[in-house]
Amino acid sequence: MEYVLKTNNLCKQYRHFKALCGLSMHIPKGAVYGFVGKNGAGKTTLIRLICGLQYPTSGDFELYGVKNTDRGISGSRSRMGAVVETPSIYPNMTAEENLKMQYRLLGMPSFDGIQELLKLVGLENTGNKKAKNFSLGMKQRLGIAIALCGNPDFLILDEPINGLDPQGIIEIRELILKLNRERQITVLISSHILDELSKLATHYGFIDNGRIVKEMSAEELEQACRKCIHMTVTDTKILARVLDGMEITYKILDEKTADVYAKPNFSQLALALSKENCEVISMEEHDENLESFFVNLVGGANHE
Amino acid sequence: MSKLLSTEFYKLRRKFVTILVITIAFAVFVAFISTSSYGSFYLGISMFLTMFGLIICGITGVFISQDFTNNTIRNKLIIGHKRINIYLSYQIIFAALAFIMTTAFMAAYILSGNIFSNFEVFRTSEIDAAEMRVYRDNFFKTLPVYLIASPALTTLGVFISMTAKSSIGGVLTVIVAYMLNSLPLLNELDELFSESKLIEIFKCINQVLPSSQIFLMENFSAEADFSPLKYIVYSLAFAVVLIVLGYAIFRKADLK
Repeated sequence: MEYVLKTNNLCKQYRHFKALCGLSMHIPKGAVYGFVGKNGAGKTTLIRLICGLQYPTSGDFELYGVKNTDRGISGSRSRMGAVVETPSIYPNMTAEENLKMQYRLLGMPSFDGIQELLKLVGLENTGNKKAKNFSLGMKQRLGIAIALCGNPDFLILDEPINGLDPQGIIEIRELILKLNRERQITVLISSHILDELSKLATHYGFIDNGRIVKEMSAEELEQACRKCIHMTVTDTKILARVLDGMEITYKILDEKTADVYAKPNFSQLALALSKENCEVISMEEHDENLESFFVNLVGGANHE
Repeated sequence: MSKLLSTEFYKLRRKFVTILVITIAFAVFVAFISTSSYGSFYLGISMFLTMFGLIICGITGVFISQDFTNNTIRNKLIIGHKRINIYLSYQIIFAALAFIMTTAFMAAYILSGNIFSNFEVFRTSEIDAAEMRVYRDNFFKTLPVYLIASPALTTLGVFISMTAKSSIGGVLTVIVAYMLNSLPLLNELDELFSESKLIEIFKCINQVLPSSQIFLMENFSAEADFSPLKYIVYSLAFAVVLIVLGYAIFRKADLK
């Protein structure tokens, strides 16, 4: 698999506080990578390191196969756009002027793409309105437009929906999906609003206390969060045979436990198992959403 | 680097005309006051130039700190601009601004001073011809020193704002500039504390520090072995040291 970003044991220490300790993550090309973690878990620190705003204490990362210590990292960064925390905009300039500034920074030969970018983020009718008079959602969209200057292949968005109203959240979500699907832009999006992330992400990285606890694809997460009956029996081989006969999907976890992904007729199932000398010890419904999955993963309140 | 310079120039372009008009108006005002006597036309300028240089230093600090306040400095780093280029682009733009403004100030000052005095400032009356010639010669000898010292002073504004990395940088530059304004006065304590080593140290600092150089240039230029080149070298050394130190700090700094 081709990766846009790979980090290897990244550590960042601020005096006595370790913000990142041995973080390793992999962002596949074309993915919308949901970066999930509590406040203070290290999400923004990692983004700052990737963007070159800060330097790692130890460890390294590769952006488009170029190590952060190599001279070519500047070239790799020119293929990237980012909105870190708050949008970086000139408040006394209009949306168009802000984009022109970014075009100049990138050394773009003409301003031809500016109107298209403004249209893409829905700011084409802002005219002479200064950015300081924009709503939070408009500022956020302007920040994304600035990040999109120069047609980057990789977009980093740090908590882009924080403080937005429901309409604003929908607009940003649709914009991210559009960028990913139509322009094939790989997106790293950090958030702790899990419900929103689940509508976007194709891959997830769960971070806690400066470490990646788990990386998985959306399919794997869906599988993990799928509604099922968690059964404990005396012999799962017999259970498997019976369930096959009943054409029910399942997953054997070990010799005595299995997850059954349907609601079978339990009387019939228990009877069939009994005939095969297999005893049902317990059955419990397992219904996990992304939130509870995350809480279980990072240890919930006890972890704090 | 050219991309950064073009961006900074564009940003500054919006304020450039305003700063230029204020500079020329200030020079005309100073010339109007100075033409009250011939001597003060040549002598009074250094005090105003010191103030002018420090104002440009303050402007430098305030302008740069805005990039940190708005977090727009991130836009430069994210797309891969090197820190050395970012630092130097600020320095080049503001040193150029200081040079242009000082030149404009001097030109406006000399021109308007002559107009106000019916071009008498360049003529010498029979009574004080020799004295006036000395004033005039010294005035033109010190011009290159002023033209280098003002841009050199901007390195202080860049250094402070790039080290503070926040809106505090702008405020701090203004405060430091204000404090530097009073430093040359310590040279005057020489008569009271002639034995003091501290005064000697301050006298050395005042020779090297561009703001003090400008302020005390009239005294320096009256010395028999006066060499403008010495002060130009001091200003350049001051600038180089601050640029190297400033970049060394900024190079490894964590930005938010």
